[in-house]
Amino acid sequence: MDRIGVLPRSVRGVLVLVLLYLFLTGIGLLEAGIKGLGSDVQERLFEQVANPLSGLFVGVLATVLVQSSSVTTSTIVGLVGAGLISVESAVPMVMGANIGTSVTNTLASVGSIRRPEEFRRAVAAATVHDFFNVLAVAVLLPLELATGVLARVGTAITDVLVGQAGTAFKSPVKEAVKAPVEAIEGLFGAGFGTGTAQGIVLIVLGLGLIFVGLTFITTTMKSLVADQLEESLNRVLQAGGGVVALGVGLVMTVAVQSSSITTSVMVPIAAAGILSLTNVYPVTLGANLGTTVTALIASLATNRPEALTVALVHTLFNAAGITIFYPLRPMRAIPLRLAEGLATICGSNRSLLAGYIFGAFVVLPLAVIAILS
Amino acid sequence: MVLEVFRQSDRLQKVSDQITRMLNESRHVFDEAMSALLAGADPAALDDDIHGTDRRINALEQEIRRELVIHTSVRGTADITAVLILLMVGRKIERMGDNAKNIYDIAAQGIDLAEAPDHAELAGYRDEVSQAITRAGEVFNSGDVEAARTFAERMVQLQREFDQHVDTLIVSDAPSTHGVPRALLYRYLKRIVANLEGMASAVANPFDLIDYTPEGDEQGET
Repeated sequence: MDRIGVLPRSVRGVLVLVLLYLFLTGIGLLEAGIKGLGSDVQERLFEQVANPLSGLFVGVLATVLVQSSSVTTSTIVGLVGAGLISVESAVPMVMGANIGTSVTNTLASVGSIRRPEEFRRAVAAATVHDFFNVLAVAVLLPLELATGVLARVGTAITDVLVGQAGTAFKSPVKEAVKAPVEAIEGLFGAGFGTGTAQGIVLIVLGLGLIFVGLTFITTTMKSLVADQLEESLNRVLQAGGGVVALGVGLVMTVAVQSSSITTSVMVPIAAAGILSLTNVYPVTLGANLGTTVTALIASLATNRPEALTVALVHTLFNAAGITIFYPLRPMRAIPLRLAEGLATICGSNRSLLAGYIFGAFVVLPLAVIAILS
Repeated sequence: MVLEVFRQSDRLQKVSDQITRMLNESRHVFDEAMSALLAGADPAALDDDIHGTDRRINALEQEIRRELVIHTSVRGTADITAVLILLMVGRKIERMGDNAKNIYDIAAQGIDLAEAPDHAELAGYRDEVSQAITRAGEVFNSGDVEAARTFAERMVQLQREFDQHVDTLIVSDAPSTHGVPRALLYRYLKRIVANLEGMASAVANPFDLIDYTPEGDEQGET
C-alpha cells in the first residue's frame, strides 16, 4: 500500500481501471483456456465438484488457499461462463467461498494473542463472520438442494437482465477484452499448439491475472479510500451499529473489492474494545454482501447468462442469510453467542485457535473432499 | 520532522486539531485555577466549570485514542511514529489539565494569594505559562524544529526556576501556610511546563529522545 500510496490520486484511479481490465481479461482467458481443454478433461474436472458437499468444501479450500473469496467466486463465474460447470454445481462452491474467506480475519485475531481479554474480543469479532457463514450455509444449502430457490430467483433476474439461459448474450465487456484474449491465445497457440496444453497455459495465465488484478485493485483502492474508510468506521462508532454499520460494511467492501479487508480491519478495533461484537456483526454482514459485486463484475466478461445467474445467487445467498440472521433478535443472537462461546474457549487455551483454524479450514475440507472423491 | 508523515492524512490532521482543542481546554482550566488562587475569584463559583472542562479534556483524549486505533487498523503501521506521538501528546495535555485542577484544589482549600507579597512574581509565571500552553500547540502543529528548540529551552529554564523556589521553601523558616501552598504550586507549574517541553521535544527530537534533554537526561517528573 505504501508504494502505491505515494502515487498521485489520478494515477491511482487510472491504475484501478487498468487493473480492472486485466482482471476481466483474466476471466476471458480462463474461459478460453477451459474451452481449449479436451472434453474428457472437462468431464473429469466436473466430476470433482458434482457432489454438492465436495463443491462446498472445494470452495472453502480454494478460498483459504488464495485468501480471497472474490478470486474464488470470479473463477467460479468464469468456469460457469465457459460451460464447464452448471449453475447447480457452482452454487455450493460459491457458498464454500463465503465460509473460506472468513479465515483471513480469524488469522488477524492472532495479533492480540498476548493479551487475554483483548484476544477474547478479537476472536469473537473475527469468528462471528465464520459462524454467520456456516449458519447461512447450514440453512440455505439444504433448502437450495431441495428446492433450487436461489438458482431459480437468480435465473429469473438473469432472464430479465440479459436473456434466457442457454442462449448467448453479447456482453460489451466481453467484447472489450476480446482483443487481448485473442492475442494471448494466438501467442501461446504458436508455442503450445491447440488443445489441452494451450488450455492449461491460458487457465494458469487467466488465474494469475484474476489474482494479481484483484490483489492490486484492493491495494490501490484501499490507498485511495483510506480516509473515507476511517470516516465510515467513526460513523459506525457514533451510530452504534445497526443498519448504518451494515451499509458501511457494504460500501467499504465494494470500494476495496475485498471483504477480508473490511472484516480484518474490524478485528483490532474490536480487540481494543472500541467496537462491541454487536456493532461489528452488521459491518461483517455488509462486507459479505459487498464482496458479491466482484463476481457480478466478472460475469460481465462472459457471454453466458448462467455466469450472471451464479453471481446473482452469490448475492441472493448473502442477502437471504442476512434476512434470516439479522433482523430478529433471537436469530441475531445465535452467531453472536457462538462467537462469544468460541472466544471464551480460545481465551482459556489460546493454542486452540490454531486448532480451530487448521481443523475447520484445512483438515475438514480436505477430509470431506477425499472421502467423497 | 517525525510529524511530517501525519500531514498526509486528513484523519491524522483531524486528530491534530483535537490536540489543539485539548490545549485550549487545558489553558482554560489553568487560567480559571490561577484566577481563583491569584485574582480573588470565588473557587466555589468555578467548581462546575473546572470539572466540566476537565471531563471534556478526558473525553477528547479518549476520542483521540479511538481515532488512532481506527487509523492504525485501516492504514497499518505506515505512520506508526506519528500515531505514537499523538497518543503521547494527548496524554501530556490530559496531565496538564489534571495539574491545573490540582492548582485549583489549592485555592479550594481556602488559599488566596491575591494580596501576597510575591503576587507579582506568581502573576508573571501565570501569564507566561498560560501563553506557553497555546504556543506549544502552535509549535507542535507547525513542525518548526527551530521554534520547538527555542520554546523547549525556555521551558527548561522555567523548570529550573520552579525547582529553585521549591528548594528555597524547603529550608525556609516561614510558616507552613506560606510554604506548602507555594511549594505545591511551583511543583504543579513545573509539571505543566515539563509537559509543554515534552510537546516541543516531539517536534525537535528523534522519537526515542522525546522527553529527553539534548544531554540525554530525562525531563522533570511529568
